[in-house]
Formats: sequence, structure tokens, C-alpha cells
Amino acid sequence: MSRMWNPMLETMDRAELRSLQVDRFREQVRHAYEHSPFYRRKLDAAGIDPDDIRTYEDVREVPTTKKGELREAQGGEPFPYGDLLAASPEEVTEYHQTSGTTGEPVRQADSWGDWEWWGDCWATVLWAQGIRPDDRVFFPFSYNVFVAFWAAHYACERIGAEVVPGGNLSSAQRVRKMREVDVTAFASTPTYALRLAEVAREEGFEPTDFAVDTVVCAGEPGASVPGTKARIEEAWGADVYDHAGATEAGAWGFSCDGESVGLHLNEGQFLIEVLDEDGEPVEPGETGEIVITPLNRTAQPYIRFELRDEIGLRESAAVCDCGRTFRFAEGGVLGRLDDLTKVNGVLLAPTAIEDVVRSYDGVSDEYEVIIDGHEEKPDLDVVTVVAEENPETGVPASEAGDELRKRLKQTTSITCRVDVVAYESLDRPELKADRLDDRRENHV
Amino acid sequence: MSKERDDYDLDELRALVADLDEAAAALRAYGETNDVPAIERGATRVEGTLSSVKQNVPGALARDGAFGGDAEDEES
Repeated sequence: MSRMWNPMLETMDRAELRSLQVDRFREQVRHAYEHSPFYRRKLDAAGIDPDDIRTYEDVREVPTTKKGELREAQGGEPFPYGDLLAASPEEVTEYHQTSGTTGEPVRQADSWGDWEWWGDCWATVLWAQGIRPDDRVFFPFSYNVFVAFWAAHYACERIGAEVVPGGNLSSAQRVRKMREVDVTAFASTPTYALRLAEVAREEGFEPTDFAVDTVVCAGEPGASVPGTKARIEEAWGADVYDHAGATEAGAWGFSCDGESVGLHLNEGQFLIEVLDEDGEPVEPGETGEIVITPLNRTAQPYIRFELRDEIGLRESAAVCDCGRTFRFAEGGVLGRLDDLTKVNGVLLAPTAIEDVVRSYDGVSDEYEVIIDGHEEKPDLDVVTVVAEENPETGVPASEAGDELRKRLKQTTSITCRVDVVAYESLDRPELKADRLDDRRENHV
Repeated sequence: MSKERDDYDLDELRALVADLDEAAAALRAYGETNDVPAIERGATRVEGTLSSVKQNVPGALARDGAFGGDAEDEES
């Protein structure tokens, strides 16, 4: 059986793929121009005629779209999507929205055809990660207006795998259900995958005895953070895979069953540009920001959307051993540009702290990071990492704190305060964890 | 076939549905033979949708044997 959902696309010659992408980009821009007043204004203002888009260089002449523009457009008519909408309201069959962590949520309209596309993108992800028709996949979440697990659910259906919905259950009820029906896989945030393992042990189970052999992660970068990935693998005795997506864009990246740690870009369904600060494409081996265009959207298209995710492109010579020709983001999403913060002039990525904490078994899985002004020197930032003792290793708190402080300094170049507290002192988040508490006043 | 037409008679619809059935089967076979799950599973979904359509079309279509039934048996 194929390792790929669509080997014709996933192993396509790069030049042929680029040509296909440009053709589909042109069709997507034409659709947006003809059906969305928002895009017609933007494209007219930039002097863009969709029919003139013939090359990748032409693509880069098209103006990018920022999240703020989407919010502004959705303030107008027709309610609730504004003139961003590129279909009649009657064609919209799915409502979702962003989480609103950086401002007002953006509402996402999808037609039935769009929803099929979402399922296909997620099927590409899940198939690459070993989900097959004989799998029984558990979704340990109460589904709501956020799109990720809905789309994964329908992708399982598309693949032919059996879906076990686990909403409206406590964590203890969920692990009992997983055990009872022998689920072979589950989809989760990395945070909750670790939490479920902890709850399983509290319930008297050993998670590695479960039939679970695959954990599909989404919503946080953890499954591409080596320390976190290793902890989930160890906890469940399962293969752990990462996925990257956004409510606006769709499921654009996925790890595969090859040896690489990071994400393939789904270039069969997206035109993904990786650009430097000046808007120029970065070379393989370099880091840049993603500007993305989903290539087959109807109701609410995104043309060159500034995703604000930062990735590093693998050197082109180092092709992944899975055989895909899709480009590869080494180490996954390196950070959301909105999440990066400066501490005493040093740029800090929260994932760097995550990797240090999760790579050290002297502390347990949960932690928090507090950034505040120094008590006596308010202009000086102080980073405090609060971690928990690990009852399994029994390393004394003082020793664990000293070691963690040393490792954090080596990795982040920042001298952190470390406070190792008793096991289970910190809150246990059940979806995404917001571990960074920035208390600085007037910090921008 | 015109998108604007709304005057298909049952004979025409029967032929079109048979074409859809054949297209879905061909896609599924292609997907299986060439090991392309996206096509094979997509075709399976089309067949599922067609099955639902068949349950909801006017009875005359079914009586005419358009959907795999034996017209004479059903009429007898």
C-alpha cells in the first residue's frame, strides 16, 4: 500500500510542481477577483490582472494579505464575513473561527467543496503518518468553533478509518474509553497527549500497554520539539507526528514516517513562499516567514496570506528518505513571529525553553514561564521558569533547579531564575497550554 | 450538457447517472491499480453519494432499472 495519499502529487518533479502551482494560483486569484469585492479592490489598486500571472515572479507582484485586513473586511457586509466572502452566503456550509489570541477572531466561511478540500489536506497528513482504513482513531476533545479536529475527523472518514469521538468526557473517562475499545491512534495537542498519559497512570493503567501506536499532534509546535516529542513517544510507546495548520490557511505541513524531524510543506494544495524580512525568497538552509496561498478555496480564499510562522528550509540536497519532493521545514515551525519576545535585548522563542525543560528528566512535563521586570531595576527583564519535580526520577528540587538553569543558559543565552515546585502544583491544561506569562509593563 | 437546463427527462438522467457510476468505478479501479489512495478513496466517497442519490430519485428511475435493479423483477 502506498506510503503517500497522492504519490502523483507528492513525488512530482519540482519544475512540474511549480508550474502546476502557478496555474492554480492564477485560477485562485481570478476566482477571488471575480467574487470577492475585498480582493477586487486590492488587486485593482495593485494593477494586477489575474490573467497576467504566468510565472513565480508574477506571483510575487501580487500584494500580500495581513490578518488585520481580514478583521477589517469582516466588520462590513454581508454579516458575518464581510466582502471577503467570495461566494453567496447560501453556499457557505461550515462556520469556524480563529482562537483570537492576537486580536478579534477571524471568521472562516467554507463551502461544501472547501470542506472536501480540508478533508483531503488532512488525509494527506494522516496517511503520511500511517493512519489506514484498519485504524481506530480517538478524538479526545469537545468539538467547537475551532477547525482543527473537525477536519481531522472527516479526513479519517475519508481514509476509511474508524472514528471514536471523545467529546464531553472527563480525561479519566477518555483514557478508559481508549483502553476499552483499543484505539490504535489519537489526535491531540502535545500538551494534552502528555496529560492523558498522566491521567492513564492515575487511573491505574500503563499507557504503553494501550493499543495506541500513533499520536498525531496539532495546535502547538511540541511534536517537532525534540524534548517534547521524545516524552510523548516514551509515555505512549507510540510514533508521534507533527502537523501544522491554521484556520485561515488549512493543514499546510506534516511530518512523515521517514527519519526526518520537521514538516513537509503540502505543496500539492498550497503555494508556500518562505520570505526574508525584505520579502525576498530565502535559500534552502535559511530561515524565513511563511506567506501562503491555499490553491483550491471557494468561499473565503487567501491570497498570499502572511501566516506569521517562521520555518527553516532544509538544504535541497538533503531530500527526505520518504521520497516526497515537497520542501521540508527543518525542526517544524520554529516560532510564531507573534510569540517571539525580546528579553534584555535577546530574542527568545518559547519553544527553546520547552525543548530544554522537556529534554531534562529531572523535572516533569508541566512548566510555566514568567517574564517580569526586576524588583529593583525595572528596566531589567527577569525570566522565571517554574517546573515540577519528577516523581519518577526523584531528583531533588535544588539539584534539578541548578541543572535546568545551566541548560537554559546554554540554549537561550539568558540567565533564568528556576523554581522547581512539588509535582502536580501547576495547572493541567486540556487543550493548548499558554505557558508564557509576560507581566512586563510597557513591553512591546 | 448545459448548466442552465432544467428539463432533463428520466431517460437522460438515467444515462447521466450511469455515466457517473461508471466514472466513479473507473476512478476507484485506477486508484487501486496505481496505488493512489486519494483517488481510490475519493471515488469510494462518490459512490457513497451516488448511492444516497439513488435512494431519493423519482421511483420511475428505479423502476426503469437505472440503478442496478432488474426492471422486470421490480415491476412483477
